[in-house]
Amino acid sequence: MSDIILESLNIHKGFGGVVALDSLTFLVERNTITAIIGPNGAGKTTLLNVVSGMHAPDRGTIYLNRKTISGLKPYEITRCGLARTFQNAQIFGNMTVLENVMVGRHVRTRAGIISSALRLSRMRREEPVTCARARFYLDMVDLKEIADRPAASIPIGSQRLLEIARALASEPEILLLDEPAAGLNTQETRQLGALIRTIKEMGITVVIVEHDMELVMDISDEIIVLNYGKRIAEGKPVEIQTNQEVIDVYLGKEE
Amino acid sequence: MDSAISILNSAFDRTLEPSNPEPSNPGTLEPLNPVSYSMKLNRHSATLIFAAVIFLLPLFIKNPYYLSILVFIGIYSITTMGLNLLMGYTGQISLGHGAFFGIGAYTSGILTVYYHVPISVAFIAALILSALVAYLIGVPSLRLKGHYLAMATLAFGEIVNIFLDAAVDLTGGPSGFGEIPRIQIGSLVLDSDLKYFYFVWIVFIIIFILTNNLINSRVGRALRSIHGSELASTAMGVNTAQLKVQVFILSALAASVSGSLYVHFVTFISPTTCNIMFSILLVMMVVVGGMANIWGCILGAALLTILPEYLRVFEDYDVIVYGFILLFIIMFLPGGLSQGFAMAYGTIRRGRSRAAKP
Amino acid sequence: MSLFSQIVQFLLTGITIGTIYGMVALGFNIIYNATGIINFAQGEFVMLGGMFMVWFTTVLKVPMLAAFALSVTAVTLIGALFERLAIYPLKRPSVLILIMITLAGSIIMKGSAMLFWGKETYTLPHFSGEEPFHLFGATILPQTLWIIGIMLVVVIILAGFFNFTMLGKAMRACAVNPTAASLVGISVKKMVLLSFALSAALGAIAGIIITPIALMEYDRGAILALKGFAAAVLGGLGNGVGAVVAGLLIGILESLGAGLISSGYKDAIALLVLLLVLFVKPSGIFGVSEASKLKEF
Repeated sequence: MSDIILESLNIHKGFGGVVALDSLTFLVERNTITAIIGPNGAGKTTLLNVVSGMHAPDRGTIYLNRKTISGLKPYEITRCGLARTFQNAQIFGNMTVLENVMVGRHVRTRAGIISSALRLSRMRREEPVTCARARFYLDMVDLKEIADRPAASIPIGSQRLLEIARALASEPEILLLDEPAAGLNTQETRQLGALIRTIKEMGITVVIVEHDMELVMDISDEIIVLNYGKRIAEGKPVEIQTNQEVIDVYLGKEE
Repeated sequence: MDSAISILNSAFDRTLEPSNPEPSNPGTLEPLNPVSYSMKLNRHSATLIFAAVIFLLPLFIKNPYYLSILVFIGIYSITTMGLNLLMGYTGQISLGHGAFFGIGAYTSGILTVYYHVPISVAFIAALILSALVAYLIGVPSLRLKGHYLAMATLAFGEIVNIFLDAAVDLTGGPSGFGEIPRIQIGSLVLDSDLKYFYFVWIVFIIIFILTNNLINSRVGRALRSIHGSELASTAMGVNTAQLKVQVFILSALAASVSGSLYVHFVTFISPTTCNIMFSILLVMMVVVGGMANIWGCILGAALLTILPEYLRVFEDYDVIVYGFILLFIIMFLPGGLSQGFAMAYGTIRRGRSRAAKP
Repeated sequence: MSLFSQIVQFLLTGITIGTIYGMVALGFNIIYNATGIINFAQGEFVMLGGMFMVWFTTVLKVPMLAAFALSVTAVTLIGALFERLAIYPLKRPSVLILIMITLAGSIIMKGSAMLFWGKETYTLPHFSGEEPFHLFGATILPQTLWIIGIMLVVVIILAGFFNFTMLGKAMRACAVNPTAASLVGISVKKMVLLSFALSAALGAIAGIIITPIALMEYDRGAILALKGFAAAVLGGLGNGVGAVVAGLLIGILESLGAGLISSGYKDAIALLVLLLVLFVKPSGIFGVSEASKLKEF
């Protein structure tokens, strides 16, 4: 049964004369791994930014679980169950690895300034749970050993995994990954693929923007192809691989 | 001696490592063991040691002049603690916090002297006014970053100072006013340096504990995440705009408390007490003390309160010395004095453990 | 004096002081364009210019012209020294560190001035006498004409420098794209040094020409920096023409406000303008909406 978790309707976004997204309409089915691919400049990262609330669309609407999220602030969208990672790892370098993931859980906890300053019961109840959950997600991405290292000091591959663990800690229904495989070697990419599959098994929908075609073809249930901000193709990996328009768009590019 | 060092050791540990064993089923999510409170003990023992030192200090320091210096250190430390929360933890900057000190001082002063309002009521009025002004200034200012935020806060501080100078009917103008009453608790009048010493440091420790709790909590992590990457922070569900304003208000409240404490001690106030130079001095205290941890604010306040006393002989040199201290710290010890102490402490520890090996 | 004459008077006063704000703003812009830094010590350059001039003429009895040259040179050297000692050694500093460093520099300069010259207020003789002209019933001091004249000369020279000389174009290249600039052989570090030296010289000139009218003391730097920054932001940070126009605007606003409303709050006017611009449109009148984009250097 197909159940739509994320839907965008006629999204239009321009930056000072350059059209990044051109009346883009697409939908993402629940509990799938959907990849968004396209040549450089196709608008993939802009799409993630618009969906996650970093930019408001000029026109059009985005629905999450049939609820309008376009126009909401990023933190409000996260509260609705959408989490994302960043292309250039935006970890909190001034905190430890564990603390980074604990921040991910911010949205599922409520202790405020008064409660925290006075160490009232809500805060005391939430803290150990936050800590334990954070450790769980760190374990999932295999970063358990370096939980107490300053996040700025870990290698870039680990920083990517840390971002994923942090995003998972917000217990999202849908996870947006922005080029998580960039700079990873073959083995690391394979591990990343396995991780993404595990995330899907947890019931989370994954939307992944990627350039690594092997990874994309390997794990995706559905692929959406963008070019110049427009959706030019959509379908299963096999269909996309044989789609002439997609091949033309990528003609001359080495993947 | 060794056990004292190991207590100090663990007191300065900053990790959040709870010492419970690994959960036996990694796949389950329920918290198995309550977090062992080793971290809290570390923090608490440090606070207790510190409180003990403070309370015992007057046994060794009887000279009222030195006691009064310690009173001022306590007063300024409250402000620097709030400012550190804003600058060190949340990564913002305010070059105008003298204004909030001034609002606290003048409100307490004016209400108690000219309107005969009880001191506690005036104190709360000062807090409310400071919070209001902080909110009004904070909301638009904290949308700015870096240099723009610095300039905006600098301008704000100067505007308040101009107002204090010019609104002569209300504030007494450049010459200020005096005869501000002493605090009275029941039948106890706080009219000596010793009594005020205890009063100020009790207030400090209460605020210290509250701030420490805040830092080691969900809110504290959210603040630090804003500093780490405001972009990712908002993506993780932190309402960064609101939180920044809230911290700004908290830091303004701290400065207001300091201001009120100040006037009931010195019994006199004038605009020069809270001018641009004072605002910059406050920032210096935070930076020089060290922004990475909460003890830095005491160090910074201590250094920059004691220094002018030493420089009394060379009174004309004080401004230059401040400048060079700031420059030196920024360039060579950016973590401030607390980093310097931690480094020295680490070196001593390594030396001892090396000496202990056969 | 009729209201009209009064307003003309205020306008003239405003233009006079606004010229100074514009020149301080130009100083901010030069350094900002080359480095992305906001130099909190900019106001001290103005103060030092005035103070040095007073010292050279009254204590060392140097003739005016020579004293002018010497004062500007002295402050230029101080600006260059500041850059070499405090800015040059920094490696990829954070914004906070940059703010603290220029703040420290301004404190040191102010403290040195206090040490050498004390806390008194100083004045300079007007350049060509104090016999005022009359215009529409208002009086203009000759010094005002000197100020406006020198400002025009400075602006023309700067425009010529940045548009027609190799060095000036190199600096502009640095401002636009330091990486590309260094790739074509421009020494970015030298441009940074030059920008500080130039800003210092500019500030010094401003300080010298205003002291006969507005006097000078050791702690004038901070408020001048704030007002000059207000002009810089109002005109669009980095925009030279905008800086001058905005400076004049702020000077006139301040003068009108002081004359027509109240003089106790005079200084607050420019500061309120600054806050307004920062809160509403940080890119200023002539700026592009790129707000607080900080350039790397």
